[in-house]
Amino acid sequence: MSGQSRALLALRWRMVRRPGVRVGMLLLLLLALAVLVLGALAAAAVPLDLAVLAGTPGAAELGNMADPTGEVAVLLPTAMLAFLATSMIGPIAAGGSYELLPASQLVAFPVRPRTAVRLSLLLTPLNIAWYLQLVLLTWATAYAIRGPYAPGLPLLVLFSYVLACTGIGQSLAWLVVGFRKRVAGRVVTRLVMVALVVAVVVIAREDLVPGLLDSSPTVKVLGAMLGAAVGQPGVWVGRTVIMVLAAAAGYALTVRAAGWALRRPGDRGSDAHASAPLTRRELRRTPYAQLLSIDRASIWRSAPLRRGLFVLGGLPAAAGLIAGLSWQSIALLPPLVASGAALLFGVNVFCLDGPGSVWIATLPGYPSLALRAKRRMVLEVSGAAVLVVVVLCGLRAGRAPTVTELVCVLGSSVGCVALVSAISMRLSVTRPHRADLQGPRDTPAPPGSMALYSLRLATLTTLLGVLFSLASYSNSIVAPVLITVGTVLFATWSMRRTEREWSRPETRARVVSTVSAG
Amino acid sequence: MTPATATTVVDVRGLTVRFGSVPAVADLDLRVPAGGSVALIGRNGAGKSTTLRVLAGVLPPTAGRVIVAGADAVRSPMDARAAVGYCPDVGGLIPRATPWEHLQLAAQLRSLDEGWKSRAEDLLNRFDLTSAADRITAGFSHGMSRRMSVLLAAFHEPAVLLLDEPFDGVDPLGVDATMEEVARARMRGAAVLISTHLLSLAVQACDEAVVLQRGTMVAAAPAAELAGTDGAARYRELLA
Repeated sequence: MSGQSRALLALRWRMVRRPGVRVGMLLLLLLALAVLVLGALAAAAVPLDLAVLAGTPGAAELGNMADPTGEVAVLLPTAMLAFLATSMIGPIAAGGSYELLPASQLVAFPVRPRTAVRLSLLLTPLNIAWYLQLVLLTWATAYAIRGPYAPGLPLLVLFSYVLACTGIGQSLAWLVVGFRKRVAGRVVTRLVMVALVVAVVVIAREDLVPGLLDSSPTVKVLGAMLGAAVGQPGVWVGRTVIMVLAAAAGYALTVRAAGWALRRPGDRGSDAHASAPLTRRELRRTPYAQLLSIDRASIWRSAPLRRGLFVLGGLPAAAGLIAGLSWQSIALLPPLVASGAALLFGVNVFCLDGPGSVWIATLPGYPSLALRAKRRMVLEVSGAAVLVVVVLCGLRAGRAPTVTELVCVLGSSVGCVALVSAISMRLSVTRPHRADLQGPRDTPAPPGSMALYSLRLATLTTLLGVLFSLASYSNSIVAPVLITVGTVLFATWSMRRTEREWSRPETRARVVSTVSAG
Repeated sequence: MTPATATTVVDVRGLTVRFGSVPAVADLDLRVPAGGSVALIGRNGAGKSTTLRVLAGVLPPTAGRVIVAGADAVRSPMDARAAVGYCPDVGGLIPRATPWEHLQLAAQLRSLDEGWKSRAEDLLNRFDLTSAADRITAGFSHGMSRRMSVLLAAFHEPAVLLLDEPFDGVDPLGVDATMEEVARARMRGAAVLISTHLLSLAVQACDEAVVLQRGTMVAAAPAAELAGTDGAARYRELLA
């Protein structure tokens, strides 16, 4: 690691002032490693049915080398493909890379692109979607790929694939950032987006998914893992070396692409959106509506939030359209989407006002109006994103839902949006951070906090989604209705608690001084 | 200091603010009459901005009583906010909202009558912000942001005008516009408090100066006594 990377990491570590938080972060790091390693060991120790599945991708290629596998192995190529998608979309959604410190705080320091790339790679596991998929792939590989050299060698193949995906994903993201600085690049990226949407629709309509998955390059990765498990170097060594070389090339390209993208002058100037006059809007009828109007504009006029909203609504919807999810599976989507919406800005919602929060705090009606408006924004954005995803996926479900399935999907949507909003408001009031969400890679909180928030939101909402998904297999609506009512009541209680906390002048002063700090 | 009278608009007694164990303001007494203007001056960290934040209702005091335009800033914060116009020392603007949207929000929350639009246009013109009225403030220079913050503080013609570093990074024409607004406020009977490091401008804008040092008042005198080279030398002695 370079001197710059070490210095910035040390600075960020020193900025975590509370010893308890430091200990918590170290424990979390250990836990993340333990989950990965111990989970893999446990999965490898599970006794297997020795029957070889005839349909296992790679089995045909390898003949009888494919020793014991399970149904899990069949899904590995698809799961690896999903991991590749996450590795590419994550950095693109983040505006190129993950930042340890906002770029605006480092303008006085000559931070090299190489440093930014290294730190971004280091921060990649904090992307909860990336980490969870890595865990699932590791466990699945350890469980499904058996042989004298398993799980060691198959996991070596898997990790080389993970490195290759991560390197390629980050280089692609920086190339997109650089291309979009000129009009031709923006046109091309929009055309690519349109082409992707068309492709999704065609794949969904023509039912091309099975054929595409069978010809996916990840089938060859599975073949390499199977070969590695039974000690066939001719099968796995070459492919692994190619993936390691791809990872190294991806890293080198990322460094070059980041340097190019950061240096490349934009044809709209560096502050095009800030210097363009906007259409003047009518005065709203009430102060609350006026505040909401400004909050909505603050979200839409922020580049990272706008990009995040597109990814949040578009990605799960596209995945659902391609996969043709069942209603039971659709019930699992609201947790993902609602949590994603909260992580865009909801977990630190007062940062929407940035330095202006001091001025707003001096206006009559401030405390209650501001809290109501911010709560409404979190509910509105997470609710709208969930609605879009559920409706689009529902159209592809193949049949109308039963009453129970409908109640479960509705319950999952309402419950998750309510729960996520309550947690977001609580965090916003009790754990404010300085963030103005103006830069292309800005996040509402520092990377460590974002990882903790992701974990907290994902754990609670996924649990809720799984409950609804399981309940949708039954014929009774009693359980989903009870779970929904219970969740909404809990969220309401939590919001009331947050209101009481917000009513304290000391709390408001702390929030305002933190989010407005220059 | 001005004695408390029926026309005292800002009345601060025994104001104390602590951040944890660190005292920011300690037992401060301050009074500003209607039409009066007081400059808060002193070194960095003297407690000037903290005092103004308490008066604006942004920060609750640890102890003491703060009355602005007859309203207790702690017990009746809504009445106090209605009477105050505040320009914070940094920022003060919503980054992705335009000046016009700030003015609309202020007009709504302060229940201003229909005349607010013409007053807003007039202020934008006087502060040379008309051409920037529909651009988001994130693209503003520091000086433009300062001018806009002063404009917002003065917009509703408050009984108490609190300006924290209003001249910082502002060009001479912007300084003139701010000086004119201070004069107008005083003419209509408002109390004005200005915190600044620019002694000459403080002397020009105010008729009284209060020197703060480590949260306590070390001197209070007619502003004119701090004018010129001799005044500046005396001020430096007070800061030493």
